[in-house]
Amino acid sequence: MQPILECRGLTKFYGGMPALTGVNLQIPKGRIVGLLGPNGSGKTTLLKLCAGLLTPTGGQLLIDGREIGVETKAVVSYLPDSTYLSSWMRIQDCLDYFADFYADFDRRRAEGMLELLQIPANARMRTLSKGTKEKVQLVLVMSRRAKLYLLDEPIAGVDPAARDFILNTIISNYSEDATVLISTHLIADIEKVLDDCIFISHGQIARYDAVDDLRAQTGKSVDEVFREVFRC
Amino acid sequence: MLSKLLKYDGKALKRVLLPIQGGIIAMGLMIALLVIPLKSMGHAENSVLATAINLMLPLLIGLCALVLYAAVIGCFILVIARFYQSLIGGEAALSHTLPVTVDQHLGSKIITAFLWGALTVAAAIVALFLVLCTAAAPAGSVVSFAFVGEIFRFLAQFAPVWQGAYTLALCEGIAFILIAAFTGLMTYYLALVIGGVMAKKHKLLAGIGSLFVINLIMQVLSSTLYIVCALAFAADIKRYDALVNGAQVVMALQPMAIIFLLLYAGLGVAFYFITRYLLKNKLNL
Repeated sequence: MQPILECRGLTKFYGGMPALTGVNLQIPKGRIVGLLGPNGSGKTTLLKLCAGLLTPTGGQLLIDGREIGVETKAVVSYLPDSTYLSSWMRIQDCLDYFADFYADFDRRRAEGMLELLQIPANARMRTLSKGTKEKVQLVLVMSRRAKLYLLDEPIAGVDPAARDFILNTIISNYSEDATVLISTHLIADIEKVLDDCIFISHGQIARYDAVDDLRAQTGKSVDEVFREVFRC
Repeated sequence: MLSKLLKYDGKALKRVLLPIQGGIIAMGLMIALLVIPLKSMGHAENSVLATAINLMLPLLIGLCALVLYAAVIGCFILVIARFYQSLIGGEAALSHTLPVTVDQHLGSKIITAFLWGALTVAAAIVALFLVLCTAAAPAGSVVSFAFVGEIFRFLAQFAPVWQGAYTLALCEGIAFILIAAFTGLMTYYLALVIGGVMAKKHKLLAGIGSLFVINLIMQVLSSTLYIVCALAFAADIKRYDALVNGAQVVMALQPMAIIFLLLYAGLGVAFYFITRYLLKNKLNL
């Protein structure tokens, strides 16, 4: 089966600084994959390359067998690590925006989740707290029936109760043939939802295992293995 | 997708520009109404107040014109800011992950800029018209539209002198305004994109620096071309007195006019394609 995401010798330099060097990766469909690494390891760079926000310096990157472009953006749902919605927009406007541009956007699902969170649809983005804005963004992103979800640090900066909500939203709202790629360094919280994990360090893939296999091989949790591998 | 982009770009600008345009027209109406009593007070004889008012009226109208000019510049700044925010700044991650081509993004920004620019200029003209209706009224009249006829009479006096060349000059003038507006807009867009591509932090500052460099290059190009054209065509132009042989002057200026039209059109198109290339291939958000 064709992988949803394929990297062949993927390289990214920021000026003279390497962010990713020779990354070779194939992520299959229908998996929840954790992209785990310390700060500055290249997680956000990889996600942004997949989302089309960065241009590779070298190598090749394919989403569902296609080069990054309009067609891949139609099937990729990206959640950045910061607010990217217009502050003047109401949540209702954001729902309209996503419904207008994405054919796979499920408006009813989004409205249901917002109701569950007790976030009023006529609230302006600028009046919301940081955590609430992140929840709104997550609701919009996960309400799409995308083939690939790219979530950059979805649980950083939110309270523990909200983290549980986010993780439940991720599990319950993606379709089984879709892939979710979550970047985080808060592994203990996210470990329970992961099928696979990718360890990334200094712009290179250090390890790529199924979570169950990793636990069986090491006898440790993913969090414990992470702390060992990336010990300072 | 282009229509959807136009819808949201329009929405983003409408909430700021509509109130400004409404404010411009309201200001014009207010000054027009204020001028009426001031003018009648200014007609009183041997009055210090009348003298002061007669000095103040032209200043008031001049101030109104300045405010209108500032509003048009403000509109331009807001349009440029919208481009920056949407494609380089805080909303760039949202814009560039849409299933939309770079041409559609640029097309939307250019069309929106022209539409809102035209609306703001129209609002300024309406405001000025309202002020002149009362300010230009002769003694004994409150409102007069005679100034409209005077403007057309002034412009029409050149027609029998310039004949067919008059229409040509008018068309070229309009073409030049549109081309210069497009090229001017693309200059700013290109500068902002260069700043966004070159700098990781301080993108806006890098954009301003790029604008300076691009403008310098354009100045050197157009000045050099002007000197070359002046040397090549000066003899033809000097031969005629514009007020007597206007048609011949216009025709003698044709090579220079066409060269400059082509220069600015070429620059505008080049800037568009460079901007497009950078956004498509060198984006680093």
